[in-house]
Amino acid sequence: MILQILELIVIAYVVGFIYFGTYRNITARIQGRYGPTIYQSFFDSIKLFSKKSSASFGWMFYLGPIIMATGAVMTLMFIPLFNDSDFLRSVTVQGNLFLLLYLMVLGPLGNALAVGTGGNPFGVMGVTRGLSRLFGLELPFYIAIVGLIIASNSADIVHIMDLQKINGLNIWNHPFLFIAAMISMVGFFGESPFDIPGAPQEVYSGPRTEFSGKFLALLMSQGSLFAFAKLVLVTDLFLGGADSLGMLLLKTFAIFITLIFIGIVYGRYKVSQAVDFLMKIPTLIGLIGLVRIIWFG
Amino acid sequence: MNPIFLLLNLLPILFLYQLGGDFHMSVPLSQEFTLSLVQTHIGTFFAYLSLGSFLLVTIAQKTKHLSWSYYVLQFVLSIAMFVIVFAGDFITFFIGWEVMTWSSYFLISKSLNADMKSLQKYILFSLGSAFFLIAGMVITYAFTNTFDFATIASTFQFIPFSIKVTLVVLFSLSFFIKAGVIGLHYWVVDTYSKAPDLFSAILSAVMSKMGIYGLFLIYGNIVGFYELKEMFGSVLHGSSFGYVLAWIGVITSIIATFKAITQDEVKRLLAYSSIAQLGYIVAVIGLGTSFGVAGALYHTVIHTIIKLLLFINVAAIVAQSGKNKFSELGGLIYKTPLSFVMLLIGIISLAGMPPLGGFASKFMMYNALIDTKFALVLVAMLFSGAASFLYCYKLVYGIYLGHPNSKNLEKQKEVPLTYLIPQIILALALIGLGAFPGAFVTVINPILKELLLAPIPYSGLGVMQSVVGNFNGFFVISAFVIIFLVILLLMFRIKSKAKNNLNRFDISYCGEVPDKNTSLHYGYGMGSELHRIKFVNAILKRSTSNFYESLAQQTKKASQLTSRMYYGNIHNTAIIILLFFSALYFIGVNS
Amino acid sequence: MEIGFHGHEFDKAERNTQTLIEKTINWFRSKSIFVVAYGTGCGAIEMPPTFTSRYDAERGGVVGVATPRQADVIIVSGYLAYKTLRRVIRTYEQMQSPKYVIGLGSCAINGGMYWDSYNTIKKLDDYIPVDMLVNGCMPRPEALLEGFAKLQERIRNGEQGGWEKYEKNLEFYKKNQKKVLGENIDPSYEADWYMLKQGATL
Repeated sequence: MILQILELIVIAYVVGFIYFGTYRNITARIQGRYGPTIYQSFFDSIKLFSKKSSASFGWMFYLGPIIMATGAVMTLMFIPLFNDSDFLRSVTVQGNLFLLLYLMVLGPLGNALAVGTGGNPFGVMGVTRGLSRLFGLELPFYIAIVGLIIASNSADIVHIMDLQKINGLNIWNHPFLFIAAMISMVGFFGESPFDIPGAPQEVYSGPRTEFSGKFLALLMSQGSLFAFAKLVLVTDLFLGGADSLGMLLLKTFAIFITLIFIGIVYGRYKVSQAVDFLMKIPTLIGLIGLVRIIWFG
Repeated sequence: MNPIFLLLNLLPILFLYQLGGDFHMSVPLSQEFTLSLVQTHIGTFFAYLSLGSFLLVTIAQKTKHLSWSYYVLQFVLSIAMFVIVFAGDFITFFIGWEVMTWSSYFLISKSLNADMKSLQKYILFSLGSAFFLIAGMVITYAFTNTFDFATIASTFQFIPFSIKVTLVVLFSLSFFIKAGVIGLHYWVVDTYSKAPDLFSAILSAVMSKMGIYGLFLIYGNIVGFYELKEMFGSVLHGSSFGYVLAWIGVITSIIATFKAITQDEVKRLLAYSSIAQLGYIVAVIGLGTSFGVAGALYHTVIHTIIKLLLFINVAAIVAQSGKNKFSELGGLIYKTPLSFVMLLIGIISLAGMPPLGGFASKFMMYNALIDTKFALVLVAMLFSGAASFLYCYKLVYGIYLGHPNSKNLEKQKEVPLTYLIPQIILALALIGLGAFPGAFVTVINPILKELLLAPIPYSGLGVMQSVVGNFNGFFVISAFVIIFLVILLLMFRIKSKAKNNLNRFDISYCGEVPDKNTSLHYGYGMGSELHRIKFVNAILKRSTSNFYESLAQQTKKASQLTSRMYYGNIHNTAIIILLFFSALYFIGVNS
Repeated sequence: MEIGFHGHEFDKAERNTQTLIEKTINWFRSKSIFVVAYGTGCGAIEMPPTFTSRYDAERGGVVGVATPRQADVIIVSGYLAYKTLRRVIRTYEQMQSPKYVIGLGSCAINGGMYWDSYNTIKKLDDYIPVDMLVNGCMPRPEALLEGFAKLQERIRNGEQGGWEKYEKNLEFYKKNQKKVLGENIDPSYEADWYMLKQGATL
């Protein structure tokens, strides 16, 4: 089991970073320049880990990024990677979707504590923005998740994946829920127009303002793990999971590139605009899907 | 800590312990009425909860600040609650209820902050609650000719339908007032914030639970969950009564959550948070399914533990620093590290995060809603949970993180041990419930049996089972600890040197160097930006105070009108009295 | 010993004795350069084109970040008024080592056209250690890019960076800084940290 967890972390780390490298590269191409290589995130990460010094404001500041990384690894662990495989199945049976929903916010809370300890008002502003945005962002996502749980009468991800083999993919069965979840995902990935917390022009790169060296490196690494976890989750819930690593990469990359193409063409919303938007359009779309499930099977 | 009263508070617990589960006592009052105490499982559950809370709060109380009368009143209050939860008939229940009301009223009035207005609010709403209760009692008596719970329960189904509905509404209103359901919560926030700091813990953790106990008594024991479902029909997979109640509870929690975020006073935030959490309980209590009742009971325990912990924590800080506002506190983390850790455990549980106890109760409640297919209620509840992260963060940031907002905070020391001991006990309880969420199921199952519900599946201490998948609390917490330690070790091993404990002014501040006079604490402004979000602003700008203020005005005018009758002229008064009695006579003759 | 830009001791001995791990790490360091986006002088106008589509510094791994905590390089773009110097020193001290300074334009070298101005500094290297100077008034983005390339090469070779000089000769720099900024200069918390490490008191 421990070996498999390590395997999982390595896969997620590598894939996450390569995806982010690709993201930077594609962004560059869209902006009409070459951009960095797709390995650029590795360079950044290793450089930051090998910094000679890292500023720290005491033990809570030190522990914050670690809690965040722990949250990311835990999230990753509880998401089944493949259909019909024993890979980490002994872990994933220990929890269900509700656990996952709350594990996903555990890390950010730890980070928020560290940011508060750092005492930079810009950092706390970023956290507050993030938390204010969060309940707008979570609403359509929760609707989608609850809809799927009701539709498949199970909060067990493996069971939801298995059902899709019989009933067809959820993306076709519940397209409204999928759209709602995807709009939320744009925000969860920190893409425009919902990239409010870390806006460098407004709040000095927000929650990450005070983090340097190995702390920043850890935050970046957990970011890539977490991003991969979220992609796999969407794949599992809506695209029926994957049978092999190749298929998994294909499906997650398809979702990722969709998110990029949505995010890249928009400017940034204000917090109030973002939450207002999220509470209207995606919520409404999600509600249509949910009502369809409750009252029309 | 007053040793005498500590022992005195220990006595009822020992008494309860040696009762052994089957206790019955009745004192005949007259031929028709008897006062009776009956030990039930649910009563025992609530009794342990309240008596334990009293004990922990007594540990924290400082002797020199409090008079003997305070302790005596508090003891009377705890006995009143004992009577309430074991009452076997309405008269005993009502006596307990009234003793609770006045003893708590005097306790609140002992606070230095208590003003006339908040005290009046408290007593008026308590009286309102009592009036609803007594109205319900009298109507019940008119139709069943008894005050005894067991007899009423067996004959309740023969009462006409409209009377049944009236009774349910009357009793619900009475207990909603104590639990602070939205619209009836007007007294809660002022009372909690004005009461003595440690008594707020009792108010929020225990007294509000008496409302919840009342709801259990009515829905579970007297009406019966099955009858409740039959009475009102069903919607989706649950009862329509439960559906309405679920929406009432969830709307309560959403509104209270947003209100909590914008508060500046620490105890007001906690008061609103208390309303929000009780909203969850109200939301699942009426579902009438095993999971609904189990979730409500579970959350009752968790909320009691959390609110005791948080209120004692805040009371300690307020006592130590003399400040009770976020705009005056801040930056205490390295001054009072142990307190910080305790509060942290509290808020992680309050937010319902997985490795600690708070998650298990949320898990249970969510499953209850899934079970009955109340999807929209569930979404609203999850939404309220997501919004509550913001006030949880404000609580910990405003007090402990960031920079101190007042000068005397620089010299702050760790709070006294008497405050810390109860907090440590409560924190350990939260960690324990996080690791062994199943442990509590064994406590809940006898209660469910008593309420004629199916027991919920139990498989091991660490596992929490449900209709839609389960989770293993022990696995989650141990995985969390192991991964955390591994990453911590790796971080220590990395050569990059952490420059620990930098000066708190050494922050990236656009090249500037902030100093003592720079305003660096963001706690005050946190939540103010919510006003710009249209939906949230629509909630925030509404308030029940206008309604109640205008009600008070109208009552004043009406009483002025009445008082004119007595003004001077004896002839008018005589005529009115004559008219009144003749009217009574005619009504009496005709009926 | 080799003499640096302005005559400070410059240890070159370790240059060719890197272990394989150091070599690898230095290679990674050279491939990823975070620049704190702080426009100090008129040369700031040359920086945006360097980082955007026209010249695209991100090709070489050079990107801008918002805060000094995350940055590796600060570009002093042109003349530096005393008022700005105060902030530049603070920003520099908040960066985590290894950290580098690029002086952009003649003003950073010798005052340039402000050589006799009453409120600008003349030799940047007297106040903070400069790793790379890019000549010109103003240098074009191509020149800045070449400066970056050279800096990357030096990092790759494991040459001693200015930050080590700053740690070693902290008193010299502080003296110079005090000369222009007055006795009560900003508290330099990070520098204090180095001083304490060396057992000195400030």
